Amino acid sequence: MNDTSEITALLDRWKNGDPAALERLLPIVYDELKVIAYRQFQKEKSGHTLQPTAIVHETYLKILGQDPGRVDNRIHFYALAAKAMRQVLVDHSRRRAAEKRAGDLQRMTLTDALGRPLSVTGTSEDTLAVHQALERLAEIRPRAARVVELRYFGGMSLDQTAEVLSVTQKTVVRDWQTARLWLLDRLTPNR
Amino acid sequence: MTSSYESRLFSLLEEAATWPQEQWQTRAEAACADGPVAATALLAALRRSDRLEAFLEIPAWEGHTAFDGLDSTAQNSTAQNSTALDKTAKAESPWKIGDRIGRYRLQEPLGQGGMGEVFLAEQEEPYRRVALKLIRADAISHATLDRFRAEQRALARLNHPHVAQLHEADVTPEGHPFFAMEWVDGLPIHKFFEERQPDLDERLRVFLDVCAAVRHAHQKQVVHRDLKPSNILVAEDESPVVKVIDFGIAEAIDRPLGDVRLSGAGRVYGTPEYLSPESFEGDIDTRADVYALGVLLYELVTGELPFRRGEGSAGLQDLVQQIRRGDVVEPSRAIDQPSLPWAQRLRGDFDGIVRKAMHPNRDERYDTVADLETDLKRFLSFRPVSARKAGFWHQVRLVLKRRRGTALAAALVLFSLTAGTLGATLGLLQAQREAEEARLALEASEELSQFLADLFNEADPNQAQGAEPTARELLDQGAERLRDRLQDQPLTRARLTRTIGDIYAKLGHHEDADPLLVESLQLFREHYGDSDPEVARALHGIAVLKTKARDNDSAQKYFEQALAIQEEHPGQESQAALSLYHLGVLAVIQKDWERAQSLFQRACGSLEEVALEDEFRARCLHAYGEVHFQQKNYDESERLIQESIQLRERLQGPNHPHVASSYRSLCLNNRKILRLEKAEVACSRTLTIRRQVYGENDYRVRTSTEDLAVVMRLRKRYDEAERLFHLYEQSLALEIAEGKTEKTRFHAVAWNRLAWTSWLQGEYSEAEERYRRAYAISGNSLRPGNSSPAISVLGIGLSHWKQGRLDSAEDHLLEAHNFFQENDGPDSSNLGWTTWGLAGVYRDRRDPTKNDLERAQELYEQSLRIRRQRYLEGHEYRVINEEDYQEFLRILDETRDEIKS
Repeated sequence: MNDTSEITALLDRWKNGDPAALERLLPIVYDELKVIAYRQFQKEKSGHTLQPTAIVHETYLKILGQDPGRVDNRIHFYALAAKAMRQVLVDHSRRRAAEKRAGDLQRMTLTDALGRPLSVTGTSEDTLAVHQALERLAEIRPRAARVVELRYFGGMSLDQTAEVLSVTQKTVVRDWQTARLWLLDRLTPNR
Repeated sequence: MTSSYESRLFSLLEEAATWPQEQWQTRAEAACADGPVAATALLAALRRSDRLEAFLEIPAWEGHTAFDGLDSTAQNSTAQNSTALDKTAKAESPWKIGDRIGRYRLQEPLGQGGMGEVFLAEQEEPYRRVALKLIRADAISHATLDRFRAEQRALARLNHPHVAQLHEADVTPEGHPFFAMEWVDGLPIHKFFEERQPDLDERLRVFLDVCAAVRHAHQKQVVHRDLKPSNILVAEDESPVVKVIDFGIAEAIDRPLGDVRLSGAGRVYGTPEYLSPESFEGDIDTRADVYALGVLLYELVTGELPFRRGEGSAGLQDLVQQIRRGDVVEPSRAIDQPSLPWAQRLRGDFDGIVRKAMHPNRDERYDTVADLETDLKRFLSFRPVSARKAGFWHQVRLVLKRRRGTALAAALVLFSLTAGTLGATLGLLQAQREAEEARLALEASEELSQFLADLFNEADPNQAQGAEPTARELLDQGAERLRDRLQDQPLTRARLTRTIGDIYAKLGHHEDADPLLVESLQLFREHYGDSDPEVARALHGIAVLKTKARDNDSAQKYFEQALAIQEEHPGQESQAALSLYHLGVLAVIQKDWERAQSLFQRACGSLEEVALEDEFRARCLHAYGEVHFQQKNYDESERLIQESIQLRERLQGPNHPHVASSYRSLCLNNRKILRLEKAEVACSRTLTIRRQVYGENDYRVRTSTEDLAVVMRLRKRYDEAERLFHLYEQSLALEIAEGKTEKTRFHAVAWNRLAWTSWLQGEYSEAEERYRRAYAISGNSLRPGNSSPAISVLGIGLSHWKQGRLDSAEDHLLEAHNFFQENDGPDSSNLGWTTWGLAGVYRDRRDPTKNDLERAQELYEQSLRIRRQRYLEGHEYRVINEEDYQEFLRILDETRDEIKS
């Protein structure tokens, strides 16, 4: 069995509800993304910009090779990649935050809740804060949390998200709106 | 804060999504009545909706650069555009100016890449400036680091004028890998072209240098994997000097050993626009570089990229799809006009070359970079390329471009034949008398060839059915038609016959050409009489054909007849010179130096008279010089060859292969007469040119390396000789490893040479070891027709002699001696060696019961005779022989004294 088909098989197993498959898949995707992530962080301005989905595509192409026609796999791969990407980003942010603040994570707040969107300021604190709030959300509304994960960490469009979660786009929109209001509430200091 | 609070808040927010904004207050109060969420809290959360627009909408990794490797040339990080992320990244750079990394001190940042940074750095001892590439330890894995260590050895093997040399690759104590590379102060190739706007030929010549670099790397088993303009720097010296940077670095820092693709390996590395389809799967071999070269060639010649990436993710995916499909717009149509005015020239062959280099299926690509180079060189000289199905009409067009004079006539004739309008031919052919004028008038016009080809196309019945006839078919058809026609128009018939015969001859079909040329000669004679220039031309044509068929006697006869006519007619000087030259060559073949000298003298002299400065005159001077050398007129010989070199340099540029071959003659001649300094200069020059033209691992480069090595040995600069012989040996070993076993014989020779170098330095046991190695390569046996195993045996004998193992030395030397005597005859150079060696053994053994001294005397006389016959005074071989003999005579005197006393 070659690598690609093994990955495909793992994907299938994961899709069909085998959590062990995910454990084996994640490190693969994580490893890939990590390297790309460093490139992002140390990037130079070259005029080429790339959306997160494209990073996922890149990873996807690397890991699964060609055959983008396997839609089913692709979708699930993207979901997987979003998860892995979240992990990469969070790990990196932790390290960075640790460097900056010597581990004082408790006081992390949304730095600019009233101003610019979070990701533009792109601080490690923001990422970690969102990540932690999202973990909480996952306990009470797992689907909504996945919507945020796919959109924010995976860069997916609404309809892609709907496809991954096998729900209607309307549902995604509703979850997305509510989850963000909920997160904003949680992340706003002195609420 | 409890889970039920948070959950309830979520439900409330979900519900509130349907509330009209003016009812928020009342609906909130109602909904929150039974807790735990207070209405005010819900309302506060709801009011943040107006800020929701952008919240989390821009994904966590917005606006990043993908596929960025390391760009040493990227000096354009514009500060005003940098985002918070950039600033953070810069602030965190582990390196700053003045830092010391190994033996380098950082001087100036050159660029920043995804995985690290590039600095201009200084090395103190010995002083040099390097481009130091530092990779962040956290950007790579441990497996990668191991790979890096393994790879750096391969990279250090690269040594080529167009490859930026890797000086050192190592890892800092903190675990950051780094590369110290030759610092190239140049522009990326595309920027260089933008600034200089070179013409098409110049662009292709520069590109061929890039190819040579990549070919060299491939020969050393290094794939670049990230060829793109920013990795190709051009420094401007007198002419553009190309250096390809970052060879194999992609490999060294990215690709793990073995096949562990699963554990995060096999990742795509490179710049997507230059990646071949299979690279996306991580399946990379040298043909990925061929592909990237194809893209590069496309870009450098048209000013456009074959595939371009749109914005965002869709852009990348779309790009990958385009690359996989490989449906690229042909360069001739994509070209950025009118700033690059050569679209017309690209159409056809060039389009085909690029298509083949960039084929999405790598099996359909050029197998090697060398194949791509060959086609490009052919394209540059208007010859058919392998990338394109060589249809006849296409070849006709090329012939027309290449040799407009003769081809014009040929084309006209073919046209008339295929069109079946023989009646009109006469008029057309009269125009041929003015072919030269016509040629000048039409030379620059590509339309002419197009026009003719179009005429052919229309006229040819086969064309309508879609199949292009081959040249051979058409010629056969023409010859057939001619057979029974035009009996009443002998002159037309003569010309047509000759033309078809010429084309057969050019295509190498000598046996078909011969009867036609003979017939045309007959017809011309009947029409013009025996001494017309037209008859001379026909005679000349036949003579050339005979030369090609190695029928030298007939060739000489025909050339002489042609010459006799040409000399009677003013205006035929250069034709006469050509005949004289050919006769001179025939004389050389017969080793009739005096006749050759007088023939070349006349040939070159008459060319000078008509002030003809062309390659032919250079060739004539060269040949004349060689003949002088044979007659021991060394100064005159050197003067003539130098003159031919100067002429060639003027006509063909200083780095043309012809210039190199002239230098080589100069080198070998000077070496023979022990003008060793001159020999060294000439040999070095040959080697430099050939390296530039052919790359490192070419047989011609090898030959020149060996030439120079022998010069150095004769100059007693043994270290340099040793180094060069080693290069020679390694290059052969590489070829043999690649399956070219026919080179084994030369490989044995190389070891014999190395062994002799050791011997001369008194390293006799090393010499013996090397001779044994050569002997093993030759199969450990003597075989007629191959002297190198016997030379190894001879060498082993000589080594034993010097080590005092005289009986064993005698055995070996006798074995070689007998072999040479049987196979090479009594005066062969090799017997000079065995007799000398045996004499030495007997001299040193001096066993009176075996008559050793008497035998030594006899053998010394024989060896000295052979040596003096073959080598000038002062030659290494002759010198050792003479010195040994003196020593022998001294010993002999001593022995006699002893006997007396």
